[in-house]
Amino acid sequence: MTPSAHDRFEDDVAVYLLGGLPELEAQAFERHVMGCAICRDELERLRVAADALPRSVPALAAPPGLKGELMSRVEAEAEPEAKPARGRARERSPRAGLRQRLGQLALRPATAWVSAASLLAVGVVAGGAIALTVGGEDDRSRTLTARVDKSRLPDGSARLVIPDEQGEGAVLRVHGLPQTGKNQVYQVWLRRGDEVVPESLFEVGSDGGGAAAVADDLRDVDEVMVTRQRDGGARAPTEQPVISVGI
Amino acid sequence: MSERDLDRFADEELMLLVQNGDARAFELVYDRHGGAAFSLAYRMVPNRGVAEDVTQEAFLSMWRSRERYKRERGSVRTWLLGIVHHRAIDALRRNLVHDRRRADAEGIEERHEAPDRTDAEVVRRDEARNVRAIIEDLPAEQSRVIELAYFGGFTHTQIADMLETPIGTVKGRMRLGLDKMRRRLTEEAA
Repeated sequence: MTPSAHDRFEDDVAVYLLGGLPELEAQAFERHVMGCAICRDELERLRVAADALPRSVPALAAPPGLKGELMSRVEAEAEPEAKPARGRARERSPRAGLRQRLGQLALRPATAWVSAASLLAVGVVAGGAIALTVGGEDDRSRTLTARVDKSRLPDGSARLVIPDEQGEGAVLRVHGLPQTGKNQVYQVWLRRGDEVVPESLFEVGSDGGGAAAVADDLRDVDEVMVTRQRDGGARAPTEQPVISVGI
Repeated sequence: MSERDLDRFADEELMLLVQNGDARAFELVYDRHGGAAFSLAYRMVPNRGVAEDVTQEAFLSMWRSRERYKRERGSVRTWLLGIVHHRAIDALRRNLVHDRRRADAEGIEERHEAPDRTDAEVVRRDEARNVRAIIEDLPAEQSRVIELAYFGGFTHTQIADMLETPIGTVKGRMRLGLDKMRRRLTEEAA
């Protein structure tokens, strides 16, 4: 690392901890920190103070209805996980309004998310054309090859394995992806028309391989997409997708 | 395992069960930290409905990414509040009314605080007062930029514009403020 690279980022440590960097600058800072011991030390040193800030907030009681709504969604997701591989379909939220609201929030005009497939198709990406292969991992499954933004994931490839006609319990398998830093994660999104909703989070191993469950019913989904987000994921994508599969 | 047995577990032990998909253990994590999560969300976003959404989405995100929790990286509470903070910033930057008044130490105390029920809650209330006192002891220009960034969700460039101050100065005040807080916290812990 050159001194000038460090100089560029050393004043960003506190801003980053306070959440004051815009998303792209935060990502650049995270990449720098992975290779800069000085900034890493400073980050850990000041983290003590940043972590104390939320503890300064006077405690309010959580709204009484919140727990029931949350746990009904968690239990719906927990139950299928006990079953073997297939049928990890997640029940629709009993609080459709929340998801709808989040979906609306997710597509603010400023974000101007266009169809990832259409964007990637104009040459940003060198990924292969979407190919449909009938008869993938078993007789009824099908495999869709994803488009990958080769400018950001030069060695990446991905395919979506959909086990049956219901489109439930699909798995996105990826290869050749760079590992994310400790503050970043890959996030799967589903696009239905103009609505983009968050799905699962995943990481890749040291060999660049990984898999993500896509638990929702895919029958009305137009695209499955992947972006890189801060740890914990986001409610709306903050970058154009690095991977996209048209359904 | 009964609920009473689960209740004896520390958060980090509960997370081992949560990582195995145990919804009851997750419910207990919610019981312990749901109030703190909602409090932080409501401190940051402009209305109760959005704060509820942020809180619920943060817990769902925690559930879905539970395998990523590593106890050596910090406490469950710190991890959760970090997720809430990111989610609230996402909501603010998506422009759900960026009400600048919220960035000031607006009187959240006027809202209904949760009554203390357990010793742990009494300790947390004292801790909250202590951290607030440390923030209030900072020079005003330092506490201001820290609050605008952390609780207001403003970026450093927005803060620089708002205060008509160079970006470098804003960054410097943030670093100095956090460093002073760190020293006070470390001294008190010792």
